[in-house]
Amino acid sequence: MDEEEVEKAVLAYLKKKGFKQTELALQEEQQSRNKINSPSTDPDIAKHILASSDAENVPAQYQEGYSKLRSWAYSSLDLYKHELLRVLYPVFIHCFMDLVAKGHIQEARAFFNRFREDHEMMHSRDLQKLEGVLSPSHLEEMEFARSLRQSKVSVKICQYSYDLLIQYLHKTQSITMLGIVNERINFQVSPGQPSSISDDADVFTLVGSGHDAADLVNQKEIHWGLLEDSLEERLEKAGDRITDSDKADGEVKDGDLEENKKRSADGGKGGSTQKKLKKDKVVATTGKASRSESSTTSGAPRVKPELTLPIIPTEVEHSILEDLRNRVQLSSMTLPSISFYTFINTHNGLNCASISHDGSLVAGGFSDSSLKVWDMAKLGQQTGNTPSQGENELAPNENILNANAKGRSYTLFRGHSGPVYSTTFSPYGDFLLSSSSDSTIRLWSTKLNANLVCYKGHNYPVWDVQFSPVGHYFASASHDRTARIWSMDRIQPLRIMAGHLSDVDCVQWHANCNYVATGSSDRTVRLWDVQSGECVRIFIGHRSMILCLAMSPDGRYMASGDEDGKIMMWDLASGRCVSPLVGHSSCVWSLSFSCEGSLLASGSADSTVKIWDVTKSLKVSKTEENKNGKTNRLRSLKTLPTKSTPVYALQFSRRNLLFAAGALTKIA
Amino acid sequence: MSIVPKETIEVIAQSIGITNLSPDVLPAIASDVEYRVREIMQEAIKCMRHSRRTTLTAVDVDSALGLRNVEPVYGFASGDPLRFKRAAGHKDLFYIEDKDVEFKEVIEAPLPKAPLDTEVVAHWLAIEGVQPAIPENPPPEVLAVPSDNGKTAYKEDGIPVDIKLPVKHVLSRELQLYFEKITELTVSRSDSALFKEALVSLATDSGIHPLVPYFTFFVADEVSRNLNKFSLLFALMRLVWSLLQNPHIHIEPYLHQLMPSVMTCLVAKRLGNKFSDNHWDLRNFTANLVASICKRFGHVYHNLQPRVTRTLLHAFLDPSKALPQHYGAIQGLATLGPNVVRLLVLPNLDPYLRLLEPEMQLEKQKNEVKRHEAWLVYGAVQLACACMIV
Repeated sequence: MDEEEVEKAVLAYLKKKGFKQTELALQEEQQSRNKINSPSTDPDIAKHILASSDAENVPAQYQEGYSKLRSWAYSSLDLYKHELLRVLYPVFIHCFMDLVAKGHIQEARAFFNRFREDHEMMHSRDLQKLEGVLSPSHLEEMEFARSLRQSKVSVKICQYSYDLLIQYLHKTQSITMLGIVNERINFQVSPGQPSSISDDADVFTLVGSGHDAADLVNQKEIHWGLLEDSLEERLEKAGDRITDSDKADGEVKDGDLEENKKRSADGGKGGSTQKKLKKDKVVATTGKASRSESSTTSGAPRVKPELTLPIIPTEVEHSILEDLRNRVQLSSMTLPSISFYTFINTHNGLNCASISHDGSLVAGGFSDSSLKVWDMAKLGQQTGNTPSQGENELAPNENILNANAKGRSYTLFRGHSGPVYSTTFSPYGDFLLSSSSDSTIRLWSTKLNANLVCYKGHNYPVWDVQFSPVGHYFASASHDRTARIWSMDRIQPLRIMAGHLSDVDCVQWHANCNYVATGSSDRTVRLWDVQSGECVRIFIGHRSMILCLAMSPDGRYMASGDEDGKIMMWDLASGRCVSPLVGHSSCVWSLSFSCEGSLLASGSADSTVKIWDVTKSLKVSKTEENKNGKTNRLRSLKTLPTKSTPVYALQFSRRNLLFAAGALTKIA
Repeated sequence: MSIVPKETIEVIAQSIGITNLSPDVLPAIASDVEYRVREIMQEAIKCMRHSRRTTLTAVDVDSALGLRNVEPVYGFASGDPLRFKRAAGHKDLFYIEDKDVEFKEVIEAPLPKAPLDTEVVAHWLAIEGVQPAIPENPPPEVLAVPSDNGKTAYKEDGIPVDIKLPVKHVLSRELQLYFEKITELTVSRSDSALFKEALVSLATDSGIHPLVPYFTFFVADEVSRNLNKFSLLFALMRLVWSLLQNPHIHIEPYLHQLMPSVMTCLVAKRLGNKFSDNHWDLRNFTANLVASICKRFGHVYHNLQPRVTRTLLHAFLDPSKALPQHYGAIQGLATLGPNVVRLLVLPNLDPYLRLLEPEMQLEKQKNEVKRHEAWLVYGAVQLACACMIV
């Protein structure tokens, strides 16, 4: 193509568009340029300009280009097909957005509707968002669209597939598609064979920060070990022993130590156990930090607490130690007992429920701004069938049931001015926190039945609040896209964690209190360092809003449940998904690990509680990581359906009894 | 181009007193309205999730509007999901019923009962992983279903066993056509020559084994539904007969499904029309069929013949059963061989004949048909005894 043609094309274009001034300017410049004898133009550019000169056909070009690319990708060799298909989605949404940006709204709509089904399965949420974009101004306004247009999508692809794609785009001269691929996609070309289909899930993310950033963040070091000198650790081994021998011959009192010694002498470790046990007694009574160096039973490394931890009162410590000694060992063979608390007559008003660690208190947050607390030990006296074991001596005494004058079975807490979205009990059951749509968090005393503090800091509804495992500190998650760390004695937050691209929907403390995990509507889970407030991990893989999180007691793993009913198990250290657990058909509202971490319980809107085998899931995925799909099935141990009662909350007691709560719903 | 039509915008504008809206503005507003509505709905869905619900309610939309500092839409506050009704004559048009209520009625109506207060009740959802059968838990049938689907089973030693899921049975197109053709012939044209050929094909074709479960099901289904269609029953029995003749198919696993239908055709109270159809023939035929089944598979299933004879004897010895049933039972027993007759029929012959005698006499049994039946039964008894002597 020679220069004159190009000029003609440019002039034609300007005429068509009605750029008279530019046309004149161009002509003038040309004349002056002709004298100097201008350098030659790149033929490719010329072609491009020529192509775009017939502006009428822009929408058709997109439509045709995409549709050709699509059929080419679908008809390519199976080996490369899935990699090439990955390219289609970014191209699709950018075609759509380009069309919108150029003002071809009608055509954009038609284009969108014609091809959306291809991507419905993987990206239905994104499509729902984009569907509403109807004018160039919406593109500017909508954060999601803006971030898409500002950043490049990275797509992992192997060398062959990449070459194939480029060759195709060149050969067919589909400049529009080439332009989009060039402008919007960042290929991560890997040499060698195409990757397997199974790791499709994390191949790309369209969210602004994408994989590169996440990879970068995920390289930071984290110390996921447990706290030094935790009560559990002190008693874990000794406690196990005792329960074992308990089973053998009923009750072993402290006085029977001699006998116990004889028996365990065979075991080899017996002597040290006894020593440890004695030491524990001492430790327990003095409350002093002197741990026997001998063992870290769960194999988890130990870390120092970064926060100043509250001191545990002696009597509380005693009762916890007692609980730990009486803990039932759970495994895939010995499933837990589940006590279910059903809320009836809620009139669709129950927003959240939580259960204290010993199961004696149940709190419900309602959409009429009220917070109601039931003392199950009392109910048990009336009905005689409550499974509460009186695990905790701290259960409230008789003298506080003042609000029950009208024959109410619960204590009513009023104070919020909007629906209560979350409640949490302090580890020892003496405090209760509630978060509400009125953007406040309130601290209540279950002993005084009174509101103690109102924490104001968030600007929008607070979706979730969680006490730390040691009490005193708590974390909150809000619609304002931040998560905050608070301590009970200050009305201002200690840390603000900002970084999520959408609402922070749920929050959970790490077992060692040094980290907090947050799940968000941007479909990522992030882990934050409490001390520095930095984001130290980004977990990408969910395809919808994350609703609940749980941390394994050994601090190594985290489970997250989403809106589609998918649960993912993450390795905190590597930031990778160890195994997706598929089985629920609707939102997973709650997750809870058993105390020794061998089982995971999940409660869902499909009115079931499922018990998953954690140890097996982890083992399986380590040995045969590649056969993802097939091994999934093995991990669900048991499905326990309820009578049309979605499961809102789950809580393993320290004795490994599982408590669950939910509201009975009428079947419409 | 937006799902909100321009006309809607125009109407709304007019309703608030703006009449001079320029036509260019309409589509712009329409598309913006759609965008905003979608945005609000996405926020509303978030609120719904945080209220632990899976149905969107008006309250959620209100909360979403609240998040944007927009005044809520009044008049829809109700905890329950809205009940939409389908407009008559339209497939995809829904509306909320809004009845006119007389003020007087509302005022004069007695106060409604106060709604029940929220309560919490506790029960055991599971005890050591097993769900107790208590009213608070779903009924056992419901419980059983998911556990059947449970794809894992644990052996004693704890090694997970992967139970194979039911395999989808794939039938070739040809076999499907063949099956359809045969069933159609059986049902509608069992007297044609073609049906005879079909029976021959069934008895000899070596490739029809995949169809055996379908045929057994077909027979069982048709017999149970069409006890009064004599010709169909006969055709079905002939079909079974042919299947049994076929040396290439392996019918044993399906016998237990087949036998009830066959026994029905032998000793059922009514087979087809009592007067017009010659159900005796059918019973004779079926008796032979039963005998051949017992002979062929008796050594594989040791309890097959005892069970058949027990059923037949039961029919034979029950005086309350109709005479055709007795006939079928006697025929069935007789075809099973002299030994059976000697052991089971002869000892009962004396009392039975005493029972039968009044039925055969003209003066005692006035009903012509009954008398005829009795004579036939008598004949059958005689034949049975005759085969003893031979």
